[in-house]
Amino acid sequence: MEPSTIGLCGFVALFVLLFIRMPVGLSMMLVGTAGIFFIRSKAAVPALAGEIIGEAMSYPLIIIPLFVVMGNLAGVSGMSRDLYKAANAWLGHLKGGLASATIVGCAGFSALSGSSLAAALTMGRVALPEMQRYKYHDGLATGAIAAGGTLGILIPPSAGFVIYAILTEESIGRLFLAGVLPGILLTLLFILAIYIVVARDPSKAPQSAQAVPTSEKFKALLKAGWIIGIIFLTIGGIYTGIFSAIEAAGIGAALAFVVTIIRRALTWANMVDVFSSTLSASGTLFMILFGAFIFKTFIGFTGVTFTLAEWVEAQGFSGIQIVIAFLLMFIVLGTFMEGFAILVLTVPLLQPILEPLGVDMIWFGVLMVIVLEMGLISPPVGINVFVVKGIAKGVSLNTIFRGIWPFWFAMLACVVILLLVPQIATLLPNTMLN
Amino acid sequence: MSNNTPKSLHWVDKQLGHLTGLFAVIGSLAILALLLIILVAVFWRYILNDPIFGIDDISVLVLAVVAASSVIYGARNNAHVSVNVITMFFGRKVTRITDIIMRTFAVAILGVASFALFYKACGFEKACITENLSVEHWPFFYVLGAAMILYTVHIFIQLVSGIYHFHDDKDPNEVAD
Repeated sequence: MEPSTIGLCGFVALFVLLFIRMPVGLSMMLVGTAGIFFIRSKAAVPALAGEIIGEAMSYPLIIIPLFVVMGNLAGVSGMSRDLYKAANAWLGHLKGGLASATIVGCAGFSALSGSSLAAALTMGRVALPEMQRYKYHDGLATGAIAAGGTLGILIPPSAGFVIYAILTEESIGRLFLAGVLPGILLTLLFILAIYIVVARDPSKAPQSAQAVPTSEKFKALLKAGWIIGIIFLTIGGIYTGIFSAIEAAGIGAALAFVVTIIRRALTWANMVDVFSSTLSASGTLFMILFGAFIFKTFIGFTGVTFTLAEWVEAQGFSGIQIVIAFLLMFIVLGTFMEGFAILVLTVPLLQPILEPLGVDMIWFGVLMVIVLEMGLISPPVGINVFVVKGIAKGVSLNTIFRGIWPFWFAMLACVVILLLVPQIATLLPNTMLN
Repeated sequence: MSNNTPKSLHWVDKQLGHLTGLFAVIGSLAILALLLIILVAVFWRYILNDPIFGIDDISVLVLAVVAASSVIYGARNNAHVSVNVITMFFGRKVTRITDIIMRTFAVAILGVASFALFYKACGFEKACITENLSVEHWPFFYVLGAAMILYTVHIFIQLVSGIYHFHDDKDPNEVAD
């Protein structure tokens, strides 16, 4: 059998295994190893061991447990609550202000945590009772939390960017910086979406929190100083080239640890919670990466990517046409597949097609992550929606999904803006020092 | 596991839980160690202007321990991502069969991965020592291999339990829920 035919059979087998609920990492590992076996039998088992070891001992991946532990410490130390309170003090009195404060809180928390689920869960626990107290519509309140949580994989540090960087061999630091301005843009678009929803139907946010004096606003901001300081230190450190993304992760995690001690939150129960969550989240990513790399090696053996790239070139498609086609495909895939699964399945195939067309892989990475975020809140398997449902027990899934649509369109608008103005993503990485 | 599951399976599962707990403790300490190593490296490099030779070697070895611990801990806590689309089309009558097939494949590939890490890891593409300090890799391959064995046993328990509960209304170990 021709290697390219084996490659196509591999893809079919992979989708069958995913369909029967085999974990993504294991499915890719099985198909990759079996595929290599059919092409070059003696290489299969050593390649499997080599790829697992290659990822388990990959220096850039040190960033994963460190940033995850930093986000978890921010949660247990109360830093995330301070951030929400500060956002609330500044925005809470405006129409729909509590929902906007939730979005800002999520954006801030996302700058400490690379996980969308953690952002939605942590902020949801703080923000939902407050919004319910002021009689916000359930759809708006839960939609804001679910959508705000998605900022977790766009605003650095981002687990999505780390995996994308490892797969495409791009710089993690440059990708992190590329996510900053689009993250701020998306935050503003979410706030605009809330404004439009409330302007059209004021009953969705009938009451606002009382305006607080300016001195109180600054006091709240000062209380959130720790989290803001850590964010500036880590992202600023990467931008100015003072330290690498991995060093930033270490420093950020250490500072989060110090704050947890200062706030007397370093209890046994909290530490068990922090480390067990960190191990679980890291395990998810490592297993996916083990599978992804053996699968990538298999795809390399088959030459499928080369054939696809040649076909695309022969059709005369431009880079932007292909990018738009892939983004549309991701939107469809996102409705039934998990974001990381889409990332690891498609990137090894897409990169050899996009690079010859002159597509900036950093820019494409940002677009891809935003589209994957859309999948996090798209029915029927939007994971963030189920996380929010776990917090908002009395709210039906239908109500949450209906409340999400304005935010989904805000994301679409963000993608369109980035397609038209790529510099929003590329400005910071292109101007970073060292 | 339900109360109807055989006692022997409960016993194996319990022992696996203890071993996973041990890995969790080791993994947590390894994360702390990783944090300290990065801090020390940053301090020596930027404050004392005297980078420590080979500290990156230590950090990747510790990372291997974190990876091994997190994989088995993630498995025990259902953290490994799977796509649950099949339940939109088929009910328990089909999924009880597909689950058996899926778990058999999972046990097979994890078994091969464990074997590969114990016996085939060295000599492929690179030498089995770290770049700077020449620390031997094999103990870390074994740690990863041990984690993969535990993951294999974990899925094997689910496979046997699934077969045991084949005629019941529910599988006690639904993977993708």
